[in-house]
Amino acid sequence: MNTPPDAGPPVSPPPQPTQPAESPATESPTYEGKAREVFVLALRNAGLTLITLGIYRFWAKTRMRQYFWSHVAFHGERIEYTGRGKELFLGFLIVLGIGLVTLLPYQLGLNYVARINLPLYFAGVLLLYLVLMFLYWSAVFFARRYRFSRTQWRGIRAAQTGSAWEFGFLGLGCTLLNVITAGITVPVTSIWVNRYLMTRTMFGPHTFAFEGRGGRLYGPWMIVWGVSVAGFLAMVGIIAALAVAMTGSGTAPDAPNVQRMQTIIPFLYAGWIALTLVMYGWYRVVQFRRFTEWTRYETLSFASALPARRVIGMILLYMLVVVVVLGILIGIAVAAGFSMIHLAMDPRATTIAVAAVMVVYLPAASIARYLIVVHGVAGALCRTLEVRGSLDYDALEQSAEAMPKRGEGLAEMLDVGGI
Amino acid sequence: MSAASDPAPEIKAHFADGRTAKVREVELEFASDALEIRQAETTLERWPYREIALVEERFGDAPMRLKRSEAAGRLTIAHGGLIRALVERAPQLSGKLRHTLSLGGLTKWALGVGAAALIVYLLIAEMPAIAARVVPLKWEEALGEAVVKQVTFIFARTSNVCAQASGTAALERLSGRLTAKLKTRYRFKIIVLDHGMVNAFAAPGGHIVIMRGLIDKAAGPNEVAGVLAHEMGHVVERHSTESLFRAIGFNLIAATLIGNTTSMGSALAELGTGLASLSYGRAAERQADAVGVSLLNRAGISGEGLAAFFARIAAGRDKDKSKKPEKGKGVSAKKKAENSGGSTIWGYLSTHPPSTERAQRIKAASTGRGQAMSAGDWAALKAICK
Repeated sequence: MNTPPDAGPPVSPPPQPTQPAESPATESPTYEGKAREVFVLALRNAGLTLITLGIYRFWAKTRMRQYFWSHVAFHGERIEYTGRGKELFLGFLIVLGIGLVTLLPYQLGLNYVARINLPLYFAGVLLLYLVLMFLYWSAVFFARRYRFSRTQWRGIRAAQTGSAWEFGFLGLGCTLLNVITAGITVPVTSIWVNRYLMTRTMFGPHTFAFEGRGGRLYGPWMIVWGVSVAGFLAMVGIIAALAVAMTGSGTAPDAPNVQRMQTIIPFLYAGWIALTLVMYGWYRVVQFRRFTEWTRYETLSFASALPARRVIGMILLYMLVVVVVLGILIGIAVAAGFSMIHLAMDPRATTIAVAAVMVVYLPAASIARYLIVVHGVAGALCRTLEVRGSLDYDALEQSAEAMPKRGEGLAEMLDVGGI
Repeated sequence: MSAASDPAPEIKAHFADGRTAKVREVELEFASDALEIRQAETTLERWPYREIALVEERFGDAPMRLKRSEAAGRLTIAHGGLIRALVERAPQLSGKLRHTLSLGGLTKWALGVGAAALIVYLLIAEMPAIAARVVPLKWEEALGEAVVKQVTFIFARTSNVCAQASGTAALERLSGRLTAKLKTRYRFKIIVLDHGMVNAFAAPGGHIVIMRGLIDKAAGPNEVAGVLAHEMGHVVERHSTESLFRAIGFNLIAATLIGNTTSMGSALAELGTGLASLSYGRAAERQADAVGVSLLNRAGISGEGLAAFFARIAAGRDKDKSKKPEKGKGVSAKKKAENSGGSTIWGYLSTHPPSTERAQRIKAASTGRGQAMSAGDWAALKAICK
């Protein structure tokens, strides 16, 4: 009775628990997700999300996380995601309810105030933006706290401590500082924000340490900043030169010239945005590598050689897919004689458009995101991450940190990115 | 298939007890009611088969990770034989993640679904009418202004607000005549948009927008007066305020369904529910007709115009051959086509479904015989966009 009836061959090599004292000095996590599995899972999720009119997406998200987490292994042991769809759903409902009774009347009230007292209206709008920005950062914190509390490895939970209030105000302050200084302070504030989070991130009983030096981020950031500003000035210069060339003869610009300008300006602007985004993507990867270097956990230190080209390439590929899908949809709409006016005035046209977005665009974008961005980057992220040192697993105990009951509602509402 | 041989020493599982990060190599003993996790002759834990659950969906031949209820301890089995032996005793592990159905759980779900359905019902069916009754006039007017701004913005590329002085004066005289004996909290603010679409609509708080196309296609002033009276009916009955609140409720639900409130999907949902809310239900149209006819009657204007207009619009479904050339502002050929009769069907029909029954009811209730405007005023109104 105490033996398996069929001692067949192992279906896969058993994980090798590493003995702490003898573990090698440097090791990388492995990612063993398969594109085909990610695709099938994402497709199935998109289908279920569609037929449940979107409600399933909390469970879909949970399944995807479970897949990605469980396909990352370190020291022979896979990570685990213990979150539940129900928790995400409840978190979302609560935030929706609170938003309904606070923001909606506020917005309606603002509408009215606009007619009687313009300065008060602008003050009200400013306050709304500040509150939303504060909520955005709080949402980042809540989402991270939920994800860490639902992440477990070798039976030990991770945790994020700290306060969403503190972090909300820290994030708000940093954002305002960045705005006031036209972005010059971005490296410093990003270190402050990351330090707050990392020095309160726990695995078991121990907290991570983070020692950031802004100096090593300023070089890359000034390149990004300089190129972006130079690009902006170049764009303005080209537009000004064109305008002068057109009106140089002293006559008012005629209709064809105005139209030409109207087609050139969006292209220039889009080009500048694209340049800035690619440069910013590169900076974010550099920042990630530095942040990794500056992070410690007990006796472990980390290093990352994540290639920026890979990350940017995957994001551009994803954007290409989205643009192509959107382009096809808009092409069909134009060919069928739809216009903005139909969309606005005709209930049938809007119904068709909403249906097309729900049936084609949202599923396609979701599948492409998981397959290209998440799956495509996860492998590179793990391969290029090096962990030095070893841990005494016998002494690493479960922490008593309480787990949050519900997840991420605010992040869901405010569209905070992430998996 | 040797059933009773000892497992080879290497056929072991891995166990983390959830107290420390230590992962041990363990042996498994299949007792009658529980799985025994053993190391060196000592039993570390006993997991009753019914409490064992999969940690995650398994893909391919990935090792099976197990937990006991919601405890943090984890058991990992990679060996096919061990997995099969365990699944035989704990069949819930055979497939995907499966949640057990309990009466309490089902009740909770039923309550949840019921509560959600109730919220949806209240938001869409009950709340709008109540909110439309209690909203202060000033708020309502502000909302209407926002709607009108939104619509004029959408049409801004191809149209402007027509403000030709004598035409505006003629329109004011007409609306003054219609509302002279009407007791209402609303002050009517009527604008004409320079656009070829045959349509007119009411926004909250007394705002009414008439498209130039409607004036162009009208056979006489009584048709315009009829449509205007009908739209005034929508205002007086607060239909547009109600449908705007309904659209807000709808948006909230759409945001819940589609997801991130800033995503493109919900932007479209907003467009769909916000502006399409300018079409009302059949009962609301009937109410607006009734108010409209009573306004016409009190002003002594014949209601035949409104009835005739519906009939003509319905007939216009066939084809519109009298395509008027647009006043050239460098608009493209495509936009010209859109501005002319091509959009007739998409316009008034879709927001005001005409029917012979409706036309007959209007005719029957109508007592007025007079003309809505003098010939001079009518000519001025027709030229309001010139």
